[in-house]
Amino acid sequence: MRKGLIYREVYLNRKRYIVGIVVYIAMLFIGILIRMSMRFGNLANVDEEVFNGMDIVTYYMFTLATPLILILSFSETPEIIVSDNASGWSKFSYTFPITSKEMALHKTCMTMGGYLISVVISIINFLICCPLCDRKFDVFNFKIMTILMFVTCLSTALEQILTYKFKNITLTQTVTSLIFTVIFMASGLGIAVYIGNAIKKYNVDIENGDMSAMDAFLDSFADKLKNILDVFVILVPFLIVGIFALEYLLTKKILDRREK
Amino acid sequence: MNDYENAIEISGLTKEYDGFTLDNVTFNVPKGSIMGFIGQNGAGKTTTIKSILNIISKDSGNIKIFGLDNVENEIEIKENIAVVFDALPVHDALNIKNINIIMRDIFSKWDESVFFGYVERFGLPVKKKIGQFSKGMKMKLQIAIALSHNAKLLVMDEATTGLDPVVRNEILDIFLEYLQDENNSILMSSHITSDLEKIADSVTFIDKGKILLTGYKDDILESHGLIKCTREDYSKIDRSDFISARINDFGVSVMVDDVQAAQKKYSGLMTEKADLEEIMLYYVNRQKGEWS
Repeated sequence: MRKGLIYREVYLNRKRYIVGIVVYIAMLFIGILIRMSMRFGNLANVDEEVFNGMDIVTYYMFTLATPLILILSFSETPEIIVSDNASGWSKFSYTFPITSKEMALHKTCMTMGGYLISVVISIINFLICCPLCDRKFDVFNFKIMTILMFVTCLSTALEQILTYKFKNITLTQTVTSLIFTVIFMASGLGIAVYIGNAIKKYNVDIENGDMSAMDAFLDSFADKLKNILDVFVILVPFLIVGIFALEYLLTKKILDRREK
Repeated sequence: MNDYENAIEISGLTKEYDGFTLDNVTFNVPKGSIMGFIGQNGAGKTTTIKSILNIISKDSGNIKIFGLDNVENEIEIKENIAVVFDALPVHDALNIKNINIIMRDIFSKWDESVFFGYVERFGLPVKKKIGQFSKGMKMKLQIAIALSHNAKLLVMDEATTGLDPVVRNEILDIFLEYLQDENNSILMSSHITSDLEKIADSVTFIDKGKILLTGYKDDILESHGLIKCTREDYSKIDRSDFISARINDFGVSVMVDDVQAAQKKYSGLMTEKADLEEIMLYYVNRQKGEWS
């Protein structure tokens, strides 16, 4: 590993890291103030419905928004790859006694390092936030957080590869957004069609006011989703390792190809 | 790796793009010398340099650096090559201290004392961001980077273009110092022929992807000459005896590549020495034959 190259990227990204940490601390500080007020201050006396709403908002803000901010702050961005092309660094780096394997490895390690740091902070944050929000270790929310981490890992890896390919931030972000839109729309559409078919199937019962079959179907569907989620959460660490491995291989391949 | 005659040996280098072909480029850069690589913008200088550095893949041909294949021995070769581009290829947010930290880890033979020696000599501010440097300062920094890892070959792509004459002269002096070590060589691409005329040992002319002329500078300057004559005299000169002729209101200037032979054959006509720029101009217009 070339420490100099890592130093360079950390130095160039330092402002983003600082902003990420400052936003995280600010969010934590505001959240703690709100939670303290909800327990001991004026917010303890608000209407129950409002109180519950605030409880949910602050809880999810703590546990889910934090990893998102951290991962996005610590991950590699297309900006640095594009600015490397604009400044001529990419061309200059081809004159160094460094193999494309090393170059790709250091890029992947940078992404992986930033990702691991943000994951570790997010997990510590989660462990602090659960008791702060009067909850025990919330397994379901932790699973959602894991999936969120997977999606951000996938999107940052995809952005890195596409930026190397297109050398253009707008095009990279458009293609990344399109890919995710297609994935989410396909998933959403799949679920909608599945539920729609069930509604058709139990339509007669529903019209007769008998919801038991539909309720049973929805329960079994929820169970199925839960089971899929459980399996997926177990697979996430392996999938993330796979994403990093793929990111390394594709980056290397792109760097190997050089200019045509 | 020290046992080689030519720092660079290029033979039959071909690279085809849509609308441009680097066609069978062949030339050598002798060890311990400085070669000027001359050509107009878009003539193929940068493409040739990129091929030498394996930044682009070549279609065919062989490139040897220090006697080694430039692709098979890329890492070993690049430890011993320094490259200077027309603009400093470093992020504006960095400063000289940052660059030292980065480079000392990239080049195994990076010498901090040499680097900071050049930085001090050039009067470059160590803590100032590079974005605030002038063009001359940036070029000096690039040269300081290039000369701080004990490279045996310096490759420069239009490095002196856009610099004022004072800075250019200062830089050219540095190159001459670098060549004091007889193991060091320089390939310097430029379209500013006056710089090359000052320091180059040999020159290679390239135009539209083809090498027009390559050899020792003194031999080229000695063999080429301009015949200054009237239109009437010009009509008596064989087309096969000259490269091209420039016609204007005052008469005709004819470039010949064997001035001694021309002097014998056209003894009544006046001949003058030609400089590299004139030679380049007349070669570039050789297909037209006559131009103004």
